[in-house]
Amino acid sequence: MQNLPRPLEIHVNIAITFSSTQEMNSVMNALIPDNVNFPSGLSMSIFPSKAGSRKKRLQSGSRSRTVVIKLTSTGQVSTLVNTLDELLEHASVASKVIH
Amino acid sequence: MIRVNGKQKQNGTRDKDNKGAALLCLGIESTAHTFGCSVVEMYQDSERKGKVLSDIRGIYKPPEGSGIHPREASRHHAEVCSSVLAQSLKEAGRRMDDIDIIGYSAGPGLGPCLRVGAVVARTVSGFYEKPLVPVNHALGHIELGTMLTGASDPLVLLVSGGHTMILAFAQHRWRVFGETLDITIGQLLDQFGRAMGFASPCGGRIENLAGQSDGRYTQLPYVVKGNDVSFSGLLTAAIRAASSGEKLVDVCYSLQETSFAMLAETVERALSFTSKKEMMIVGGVAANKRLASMLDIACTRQDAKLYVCPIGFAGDNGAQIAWTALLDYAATKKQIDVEKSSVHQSWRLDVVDVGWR
Amino acid sequence: MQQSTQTRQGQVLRRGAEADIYLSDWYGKPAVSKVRTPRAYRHKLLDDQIRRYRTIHEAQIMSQAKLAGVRSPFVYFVDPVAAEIIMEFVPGRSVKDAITLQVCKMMGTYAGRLHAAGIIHGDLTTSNFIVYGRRLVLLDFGLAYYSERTEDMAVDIRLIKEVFSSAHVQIFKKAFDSFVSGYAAEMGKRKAEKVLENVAEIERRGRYARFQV
Repeated sequence: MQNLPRPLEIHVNIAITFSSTQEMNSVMNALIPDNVNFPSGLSMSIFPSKAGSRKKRLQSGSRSRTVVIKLTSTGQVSTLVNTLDELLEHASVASKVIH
Repeated sequence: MIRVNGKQKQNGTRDKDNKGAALLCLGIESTAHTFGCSVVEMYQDSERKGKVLSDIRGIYKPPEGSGIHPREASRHHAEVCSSVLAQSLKEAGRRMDDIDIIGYSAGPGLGPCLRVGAVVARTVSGFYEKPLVPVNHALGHIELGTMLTGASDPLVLLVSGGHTMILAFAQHRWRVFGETLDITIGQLLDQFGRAMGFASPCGGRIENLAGQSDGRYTQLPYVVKGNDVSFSGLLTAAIRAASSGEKLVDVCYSLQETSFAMLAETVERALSFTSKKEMMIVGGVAANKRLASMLDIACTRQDAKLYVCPIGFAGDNGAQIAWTALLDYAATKKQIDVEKSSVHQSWRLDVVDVGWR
Repeated sequence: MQQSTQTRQGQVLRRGAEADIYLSDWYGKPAVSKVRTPRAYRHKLLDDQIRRYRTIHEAQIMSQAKLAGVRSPFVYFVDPVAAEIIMEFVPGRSVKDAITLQVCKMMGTYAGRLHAAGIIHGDLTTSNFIVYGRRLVLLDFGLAYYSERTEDMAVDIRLIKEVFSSAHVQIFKKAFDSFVSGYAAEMGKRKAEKVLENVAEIERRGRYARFQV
């Protein structure tokens, strides 16, 4: 990957669907603590996706089995790729461990 | 198949060995080259006695001549973690339901490696609703060593790739009496070995070669500053000696003799100053027999008894994490929220409050 | 000339980590014989060399310290082959057992005088300072050497700081502050601050530098 003189602004949206809400929550909570101390130019947020209609969610609470990860990079592309790499690896580790 | 989470069991209600109430911990170690899981049991009826029910390790081996690449090592850990975990439960004859607490190595160590262990620990803790207990890796070496050797209030020499320190316990903390001013003894041996083209970890090979020497001693820098030691000059000189025609076995011999003598001298000082009657060696380099025999002589001179951590548990492992988590939890009932369970690449042992000694 | 073997008939005062100290006399004066004993765990070549060098060096530097204004025992006789020094006997109590804030300040003063003169003591612990009436005497120059480097001074100070924080934990802060006030008075505030910054850096380095691979 080339690092261009004027860094690109890149947005990455990842959605991972698990087999249960419980599994999704466990994995999401396992990833969040490392979501700190990013180098400048990189930011990330993790949250459950909004599943179902608003009315249904208010009645019974979110039953999402999907977690959404949004990354925004205005810095080095290689940093973004490395972060994504580790993130996906961790998500896969967490999921493996549950099963 | 997805395991459905059961209710958390009360302490000791499912003890199969009929030894009275017991606390069970799954410990996860992942600070550097080793990914380890271990199930350890603590008996509640006697004072801090425990048993290691299983100890499984997946060890990353870097290619010859190179050291640990943190990201490569963490990839290795990510690959083996779930089978190591499963194996540790299987060998202990326990299931996740039986486990009372989860201990994990929260530092110090290599960031990417630490994070894999932490993710595993958080996931298991969250999914099975077990308390999560962070553990300092160095403290783990000390506590496991104490449990296995029976030492009660020793002066501790912690020697590994990540640490070279002389410690004494006073007022709730392990205090540093002396340490290395630059590289650790593990790094000294490893970097010398790698420069010679050996595969990491090099300590065992260097010990073997040194044993083949006739005892020809080559002048190498011996640097002791007060209670501290310094190895970087020694490393450079040893590499130079080996590259300029000295026999490799003699250089290995001289390297060990010099560096170990430095450690023995500083230990002797610390024993003399503290008047402690026990000395314990822990950490990966505790496996070196020459070091142990030198320290034995030094201890005899100072009227102290030497305890050496058994070879099988000297290196990094999950049991040291599990046992320390048990000690901590049994004494303080403190656990950490998953959201706050971050890892620390640097975490000095002398800032950790020990609530159970 | 008095045979050095005769001095060993004296009572053993201390079996230290480095050397054995015997009570003795030198032509009628109470004296101390310091013998660096061989270490069975060290290779003989290394061992002989270390003992001989340290013996000669210690005697030399002990005398130099006086010129800097630091009280040290007077040297009567040196035998490099036997690794023995016969020196003045200093009565009194070790500061390790008799620590006061005033003494801490005086220890700082001594450290400052040594460093200002380019001498690093190398083993500044409270058991190497003896209080004798109103006098403070510094012993054991066995690891002392000459250096002008701030880094070396920092290592020296760091040792006594560690000693305060481990063996004298209860009064650590006050003890070290008193020490520093005596030290800064001799070194000058700016130099003293530089040294202390360096001490903090060594402590930090201890935390971060270990994981370079």
